[in-house]
Amino acid sequence: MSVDKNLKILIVDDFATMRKVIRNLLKQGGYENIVEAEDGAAALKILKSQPVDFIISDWNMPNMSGLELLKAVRSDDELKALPFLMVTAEALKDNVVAAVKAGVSNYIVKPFTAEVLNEKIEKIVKSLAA
Amino acid sequence: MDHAELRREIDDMASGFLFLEKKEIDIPTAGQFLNQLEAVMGHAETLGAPEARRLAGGLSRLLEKVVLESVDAATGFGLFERGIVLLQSVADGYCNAGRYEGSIEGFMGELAAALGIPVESGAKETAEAPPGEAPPESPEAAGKGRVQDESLLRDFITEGLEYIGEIEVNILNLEQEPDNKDYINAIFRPFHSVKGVASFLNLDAIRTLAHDLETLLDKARNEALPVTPELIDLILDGSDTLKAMIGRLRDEIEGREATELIDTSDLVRRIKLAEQGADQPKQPKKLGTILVEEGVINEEELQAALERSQIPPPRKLGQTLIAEGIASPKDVSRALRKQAQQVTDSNTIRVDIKKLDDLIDMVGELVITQSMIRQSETLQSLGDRKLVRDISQLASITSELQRSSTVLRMVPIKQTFQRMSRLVRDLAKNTGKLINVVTVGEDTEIDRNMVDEIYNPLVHMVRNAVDHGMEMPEERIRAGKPERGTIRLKAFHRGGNIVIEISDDGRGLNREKIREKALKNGLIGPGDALTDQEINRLILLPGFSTAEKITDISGRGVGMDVVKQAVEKLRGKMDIQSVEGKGTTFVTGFPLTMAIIDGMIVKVGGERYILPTVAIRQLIRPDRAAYNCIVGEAETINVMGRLLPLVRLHRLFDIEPVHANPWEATLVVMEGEKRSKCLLVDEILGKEEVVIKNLGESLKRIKGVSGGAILGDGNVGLILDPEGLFEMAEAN
Repeated sequence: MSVDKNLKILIVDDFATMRKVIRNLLKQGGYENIVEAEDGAAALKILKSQPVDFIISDWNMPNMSGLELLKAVRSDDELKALPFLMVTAEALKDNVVAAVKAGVSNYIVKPFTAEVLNEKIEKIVKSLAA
Repeated sequence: MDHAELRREIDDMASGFLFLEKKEIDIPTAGQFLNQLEAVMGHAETLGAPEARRLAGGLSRLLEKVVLESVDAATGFGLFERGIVLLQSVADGYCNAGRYEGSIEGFMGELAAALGIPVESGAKETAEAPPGEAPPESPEAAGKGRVQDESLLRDFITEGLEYIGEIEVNILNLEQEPDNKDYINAIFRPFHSVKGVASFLNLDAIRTLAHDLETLLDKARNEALPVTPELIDLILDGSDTLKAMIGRLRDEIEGREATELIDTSDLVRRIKLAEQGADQPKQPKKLGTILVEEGVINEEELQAALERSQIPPPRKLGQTLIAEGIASPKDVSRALRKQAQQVTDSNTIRVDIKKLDDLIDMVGELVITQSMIRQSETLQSLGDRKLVRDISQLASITSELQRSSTVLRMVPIKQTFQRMSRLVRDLAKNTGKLINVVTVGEDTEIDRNMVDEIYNPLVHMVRNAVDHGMEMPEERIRAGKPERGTIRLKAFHRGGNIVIEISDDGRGLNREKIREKALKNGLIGPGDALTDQEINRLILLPGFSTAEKITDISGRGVGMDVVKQAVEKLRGKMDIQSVEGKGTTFVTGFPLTMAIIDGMIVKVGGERYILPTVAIRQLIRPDRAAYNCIVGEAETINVMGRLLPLVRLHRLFDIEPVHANPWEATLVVMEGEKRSKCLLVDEILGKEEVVIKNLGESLKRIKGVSGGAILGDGNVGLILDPEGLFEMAEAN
């Protein structure tokens, strides 16, 4: 069973170059249906206005951090089941544990390859389908 | 909550575990368990079930490690399974017997071994073990599959430089409010983002430096490291270096000749040092050092006494010093007290500046009121000696109170110096000059309300020193001076003033050129004999500028005259010392506070006025012969060979004077910004320190008057502004 490559993925990062990096990696994995947001607040707006299947969010952002976005998503009845992949710079224990407790689907440590990103996405989507 | 409920909670977890699809704890599941374990720990704590609390804590640690992939998933799964079962039996024990009969030690030991850390303290684990760093995803990530795309590189360069530029804005804010976490975070983020992208782009040097800086800031954010001026400097240097590195990258991809590799080793060393500083608590000064500083003993006596204290039986330094009569017990105990104070150095509180201002204002009022009481004729006529004594006691307490409350608002000049140092660094970079900044007397204190006021004139002097004073490196080498110039910022107290010196070791003032220019502008006559000092001061005159070209630093038509005016507006004085080829020093003196003024009380008719003492050059009673009046021209007074215009204060303010003739009245020679004039008053009543009061918005623009003060007898006296008076006189 393979994952639907038409999955609509939302990339949240304040650094435009980083969004582009992730977008390129996703394209290598065959994902083309991508939207971007520059912080948590902008991401929530998008999530409210259009259907999104998967969120890839940075941890440290101005206005609304990745953790805050995650909490907002998990406490929203319509959004709470959305797969949420957190991007962190290091697997800093405190950050990761906080995200895990808040219900993150998985996390990925920068820098990562297209293969690893793909694996994480597939793992999350498959566990949901099961 | 009782034991049965605790048990239900644990059973819930166990059944959740039992129904796991695969023999694997995935991240969402781990999240659920972590939250459940946290609840169990809390409840076990309140119910007094220590084994359950420790066990739950240990299992949390295990799950964290599983999540971070620092424990093998299968091992983790097995251990967790056994842990849950054990936790159930502990809960059973408490439920049935109120205690657990068995032992969890065996399992805890196994857990600790698997985790490689002690898990004993379970619930209170937060302080232990620095945050673990898991290796990046896929160890072979280096090289393989990484992005190396030129358009991405270009984006990174543009966005990275922009982001780092933001650091400088935020660091100024942080300097003002070192405790503000938002500012630290705003500085942290650019480093973090740059690091993240750099790691994808294989830019290892940039990634490493950004990472080091980020770690440093993270410590500051977690309060493991205080936000000191040194830290701020380090961050700025770090961001400058990062910018240079990214700039170099741009040169490379644009095919320009690559500049030399940037050496970050010194910076990295400083960062590491600063980080270690975080872990070392400040050592209090040694007793001996304090005694030497206090002048009780000298360095040699200290060394000798230290050596003798080592001879068995060893004694403490203080004991040796007292026993040998080198220091008195009083001196030693005072030094010991001082040492103890250092340890509790953090006995400070932050107070809103508004509150302090109010307090100081009220104290000012108190001073005036008590002085009114003291001068009350009714009281004096009572002749009660005890009352007189009490009132003079009140007076001395009040003035002591005023002194100590003024001190409250004093802050070290340090921050101002730092901002100036930063300015010099930036200016130096823009002009291609090499300049070191040395600061002396950073701890010298000044009224906080003065700090902002003096900043602009000081900045102008610094700009002047960098732009005009300092030579280009080649020129310095030709002149046999070190390539790198030095600008010295020095502050100290003298009298009731703070003196700030800005010196450079640059080319010094070219007196020949100044003289020529002054001649050309008609500021001096061809025959005028001027001392070096007088020539130096010419550059303070309006419209004077010897800069050959207008640079974007100084010389935009705003000359040193504006600086001088700004200094004088703050009732300060300014002077220049210069040796050609060796450098120039600007010396400025400011009053420590704007709240009090040293004034001369003068009387005209029935009115009394206060003249700022700083503006008074001399007081004279002229001869009849010194007075000149040519019809249609201004009246003048011959003061030691100079003809100075006469300003009749009574005429300006429309008062009937006692003496209208200058040779009967008293003349005050006052200095304005550009000229001196004689002010005609009836008599001088004396000198007094007065508390300045604003006249309020509506009276703010009255010419010739800068404020009001309540005099000792309770009446209001106006404080006169010499420059304004002169302008009034000239307009008439």
